[in-house]
Amino acid sequence: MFSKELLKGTLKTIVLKLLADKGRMYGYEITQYVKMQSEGRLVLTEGALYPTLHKLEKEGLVRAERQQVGKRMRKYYHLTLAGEKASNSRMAEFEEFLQVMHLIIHPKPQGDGS
Amino acid sequence: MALELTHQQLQYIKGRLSDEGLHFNPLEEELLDHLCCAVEEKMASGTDFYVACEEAISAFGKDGIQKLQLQTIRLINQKSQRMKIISLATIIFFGGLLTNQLLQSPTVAEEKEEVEIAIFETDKILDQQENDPPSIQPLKGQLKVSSAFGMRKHPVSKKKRLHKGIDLRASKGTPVLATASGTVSKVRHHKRGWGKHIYIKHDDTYTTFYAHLSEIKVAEGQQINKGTVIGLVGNSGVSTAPHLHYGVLKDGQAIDPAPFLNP
Repeated sequence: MFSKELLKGTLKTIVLKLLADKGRMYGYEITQYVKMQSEGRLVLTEGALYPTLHKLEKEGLVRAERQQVGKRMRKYYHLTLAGEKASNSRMAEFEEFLQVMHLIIHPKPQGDGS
Repeated sequence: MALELTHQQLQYIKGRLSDEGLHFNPLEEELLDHLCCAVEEKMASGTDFYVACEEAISAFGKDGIQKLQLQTIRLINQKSQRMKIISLATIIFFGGLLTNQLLQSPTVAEEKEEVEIAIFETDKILDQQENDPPSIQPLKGQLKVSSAFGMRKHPVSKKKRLHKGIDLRASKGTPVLATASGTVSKVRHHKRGWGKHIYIKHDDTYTTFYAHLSEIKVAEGQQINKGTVIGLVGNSGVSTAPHLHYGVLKDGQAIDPAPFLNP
């Protein structure tokens, strides 16, 4: 399990990226998908996921639609146009961040060799 | 689908969610679906229904559902920073242009005041555009609940009735705060009922209600911000001791205000 601090900054990015890839998803599906893809090493708690989804909805980055599934209602989320843009820019930023972190963790040998 | 819960099982889970303190409507269907999915999966691998239920609920952690609910209400009440920044930037830009021009004019002070008023007005409009459900306590400090929301025997009439709000004990004259921004929609004084009372309409969904006041400090139609003192605690109307009766109406229906009271 990763620390809360580390996850806090990435949760929105993860949700936006998943919705960009999958089109639409519901809460439970997101938790299960992340668990499966990360081979159980990343667990999104419900307590963090649902408030984030509602916040994204308020910000206009995702929209939700309700659908009857069997005897109950299911709330599917999908990206809005603004959400798609946010997903792209957040992913680009995050990938760059990973590269920079890599440079810091594995510094190149010093000296230019000449 | 391999397994689907029965109607009774669904109702049972719904009841458990309510026991756990879930009252915030936008989360109800969603968390019900979440729990049902988790329970179905556990049952598919041979777990008993009731055990599966408790496991699924305890996965949220201690008081996890209430915490989730509060966190959601808090997050969606936060002002959109982006909107504020954009509008502020616009104001500063145009305000700056104006001020620069005005510096050459003889009536700088007057006109500058106008610019400031314009900024103030824009902020007010921004505040009104936010649809804020109630998000703070109507009284400052530790709340003393003398009567919760739900069925009870009325302290004066002794008849069993639904208590459509929450009674908060406080001394006479304690300031009562608006729990979200909005418009004062009704101010009344019913000596044989709610005493001096106020309704504040926050958006299309939420209205709050404050009763048995000793003094009212706002007028009908007045725009108010979250935290504005709207009146003072009292004992007016049918009441046995100074207290605030605080109600939350959602789409016109009284709901339990407890989830809206931040700890």
